[in-house]
Amino acid sequence: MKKLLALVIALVVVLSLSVLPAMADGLNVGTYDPASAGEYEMGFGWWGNQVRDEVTKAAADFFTENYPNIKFNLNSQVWNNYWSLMSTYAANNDLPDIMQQDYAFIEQWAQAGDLLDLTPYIESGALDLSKVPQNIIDTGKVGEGIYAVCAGVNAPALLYNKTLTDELGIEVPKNITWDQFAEISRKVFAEKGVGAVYGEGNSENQPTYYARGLGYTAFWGDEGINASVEQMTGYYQRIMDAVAEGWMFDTDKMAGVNLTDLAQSPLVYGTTNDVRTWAAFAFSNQIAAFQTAANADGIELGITNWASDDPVASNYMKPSQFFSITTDTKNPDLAVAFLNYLINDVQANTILRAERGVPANGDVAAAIADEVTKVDATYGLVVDYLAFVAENSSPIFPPLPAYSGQVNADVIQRLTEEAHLLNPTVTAEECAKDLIESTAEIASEY
Amino acid sequence: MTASRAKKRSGFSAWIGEESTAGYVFSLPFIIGFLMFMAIPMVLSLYYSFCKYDIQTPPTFIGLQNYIKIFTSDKVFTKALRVTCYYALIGTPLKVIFALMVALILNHESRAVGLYRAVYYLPSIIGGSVAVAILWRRLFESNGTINAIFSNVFPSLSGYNWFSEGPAIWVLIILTVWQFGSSMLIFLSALKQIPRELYEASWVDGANGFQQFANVTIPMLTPTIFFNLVQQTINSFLAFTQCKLITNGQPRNSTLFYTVYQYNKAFPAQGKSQMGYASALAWIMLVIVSVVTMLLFKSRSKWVFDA
Amino acid sequence: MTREKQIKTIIYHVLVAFGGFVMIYPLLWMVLSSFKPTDQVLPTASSLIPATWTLRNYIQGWKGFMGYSFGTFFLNSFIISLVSTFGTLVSSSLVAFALQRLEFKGRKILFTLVLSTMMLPAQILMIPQFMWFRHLNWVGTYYPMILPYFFAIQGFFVYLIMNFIGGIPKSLDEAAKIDGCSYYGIFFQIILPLIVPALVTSAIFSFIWRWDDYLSALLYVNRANMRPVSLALQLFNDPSSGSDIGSTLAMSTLSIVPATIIFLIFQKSLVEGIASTGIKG
Repeated sequence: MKKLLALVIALVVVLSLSVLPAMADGLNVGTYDPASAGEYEMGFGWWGNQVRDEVTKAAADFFTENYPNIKFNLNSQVWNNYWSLMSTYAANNDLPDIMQQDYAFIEQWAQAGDLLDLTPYIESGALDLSKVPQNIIDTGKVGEGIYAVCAGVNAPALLYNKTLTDELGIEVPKNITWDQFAEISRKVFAEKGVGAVYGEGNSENQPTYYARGLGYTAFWGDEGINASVEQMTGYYQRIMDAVAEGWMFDTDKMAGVNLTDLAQSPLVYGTTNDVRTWAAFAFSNQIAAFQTAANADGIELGITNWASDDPVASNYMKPSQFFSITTDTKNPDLAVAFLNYLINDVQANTILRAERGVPANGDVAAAIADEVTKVDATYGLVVDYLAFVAENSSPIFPPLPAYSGQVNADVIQRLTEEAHLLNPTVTAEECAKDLIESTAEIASEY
Repeated sequence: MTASRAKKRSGFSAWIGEESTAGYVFSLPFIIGFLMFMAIPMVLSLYYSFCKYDIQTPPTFIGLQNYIKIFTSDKVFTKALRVTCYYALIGTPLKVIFALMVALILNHESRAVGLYRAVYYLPSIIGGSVAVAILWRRLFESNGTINAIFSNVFPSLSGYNWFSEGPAIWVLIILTVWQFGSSMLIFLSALKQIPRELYEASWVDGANGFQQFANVTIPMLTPTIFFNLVQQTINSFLAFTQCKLITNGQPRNSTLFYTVYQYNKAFPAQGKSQMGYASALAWIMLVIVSVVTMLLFKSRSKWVFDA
Repeated sequence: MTREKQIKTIIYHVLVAFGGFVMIYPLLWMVLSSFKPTDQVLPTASSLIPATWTLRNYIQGWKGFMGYSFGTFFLNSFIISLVSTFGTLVSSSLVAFALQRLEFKGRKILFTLVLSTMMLPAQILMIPQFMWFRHLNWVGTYYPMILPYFFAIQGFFVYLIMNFIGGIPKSLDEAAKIDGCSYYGIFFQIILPLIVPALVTSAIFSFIWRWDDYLSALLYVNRANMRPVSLALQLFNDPSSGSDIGSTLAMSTLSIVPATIIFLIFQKSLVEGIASTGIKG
């Protein structure tokens, strides 16, 4: 009996070792020694999903294994709940030591005084960003300080039903333009009755991409939208034409499908062709989840850029998520050491398996490629696409102004729905005018 | 005897034994609870409704501005209010009528009735969960179960889009009607309370089944109908999860519940919280619900039969 | 005649059973789909019976999140629901006794306030209550989800028990008073034992409502190991990155098991309990 037990224990140990990467000489934590911190419970919050929760927990556990004096209070929420909860914690001065951040919101959070300026730690070497490209580091900049470090990189990506386009003998080009996209959509719709949806409709993503194609780096200015009424008319006209031609989903049809739950997205789910789309305006790190859902119907997905008149001007590399240290932390040095571990430690990133996007530290990204491809077959596709985007894109827009969220919710969604009506009651010009005027009004209130 | 005893006691023990003191002692939990968990928060929210408040920075007093904006320029407010009234005024009567019908059918002496009762009540237990949201979309999607059944009868309906602007609200109304269980239970117990003699008496008077129903059952049930109507009307005005999980207000806010609009203002997915504005919305809803409830109570004497 | 009656009975049962099937079809769908392989749930959504049965969703789902299994979440839910239900019963019956049986100044006002709490929407209170609890430093604890219930804040239960006490003959109180019993004695020795059926009914409703409560957990729980089932379920589903629908359905199915069992056991006394409380409006 005892022998059996010993055998089982040995087996478990061997198995668990084979799962974990080989132990190097300690963790990459920078210059501070977490062992000297004494007993400490570190708060760590993110928005996520089951996979992200598991890998992040594992990465935290691995840290605790090496530094048993450090325990974690992990807090994972879904996106919507995450922000409302974090703002209430912020009001309570009770934010976790380290929180996941989004490019859109860093500026607001830094200005509210909730995030710690990391510049002194980078300068002292406590936080080593030498392997992270400067333009990626800069995305975490607000004013003169660096308030967030990129957890992974992604880019806007048009994911399409490659099985379908292959069947129709259509080649989906790289750097696809809007006209090419419309042409393919017309053909797919004529032959298969499968349509298209132009993004989720309640964010600035599509109009921004469009405006960048016209030469604006940023969609939002201090007092409103940078593009003119005339230019934005083109954006709404494009939608109205496509709806009139039939291949773009109208408002009612969009309401009939689920555009928020990825597993039920019309790209990968739908009982008949008329509730399906051949392409989805998504982000490169989402392809794994889309592909998983698509497997059920035997669909293989392809990846290219979002359609734009000038794809190189429009496209950009985006930090998919950030990690920030909050001003509520009681031991900033320790939090920085943990952050350094998340960014630079190969073992940590093997455990995290690029779920948050391809690691910004180039050495790490290369070192984990083999391991990650084993669990995620689309990883290679994403890395290739990002390499292409790196050569064919323009610098990303600055972080979004505080008023943009309200414009998305109150204005952009409403106008998207108006423009997508089968029998529109307003003209494209009126939409554009409304957009620019309403935005200016909201911006003036902030 | 009691009097002499009470006289012997003095001071504290006499005071505590008095009826009015005991009344306060027994009510104390509610008095404390009401102050702590209702009154203080309500006063707070009334104050916030006159402020611009984003939770992260202290509130700034702006007077009636929130209310003025809501009533003069907020089109979404008007829309959400209309949608909510439509949902409440159509959904509630339907739900109560349905609950009553099923209760009448199940008010039957049979072994299987216990099982039936459970089966008809179960949907009300699961409430508004994620599973219901998934399921409801699936039932009503263009090639879902509902269309599959109805297209056999009305071929023109095949592929009908339930989530388009007109019918989408009905998807939510049907969901609330489906969860009629608690009203049904209350009707069932009310039916059991109707004295048998009343039926027997009307039988002697030569009333047939239908006349019995119209002259005995319904009048005797009016207090219960009233109770359910009030409860369910309030619940419909405050419904939240169904809309949030299933349609999220789409398309074009045609299914936007008032509470969801209010929640989105208080806890937006993007951008800053507008807690002051949301508090003003909350207070407006409070007034509306109070007025509707009052009207219902005013109508009570006109149609409710009190034995 | 008897034949006609038999046919009527059969028709009755067929119709009622069919209606029942329509009613629980969605539930059946959830339960049966939870035994399908997770990638088959949506594609084969129109067929009720799984082509291949699997327990994988239950095994996978039970693992929970970040090292905390659903066992933890179920335990949390039980603790929260049971303790707050206990508080509701104790406080509501005390207050109900005062409002129904004792004469004191302000009784009418208190009664109106109790009724008004039935009409006060949780949505309206949610925001200000959060502010207040934050002020009390209760955020991140179970206090906001348990303590208020020890103060009879749900008028529904006070009202329900009041109605029940109203049905107990007042002569019992009078007799006890003559025997020298204090008002406290009357409550504990006479009334309390007699209102057990109303307490059972209240307990069932309260337990089910507390069990389903998701909003307050969302606002007040910030530790993974303190989550109740309702909140944990929500976290299975992050739409933006795909979700394990099989596990979601499996855990949803498990989550309604306690309420269902309670209802099945007590359904008879539930109907009678409501009947004897004499809720008429």
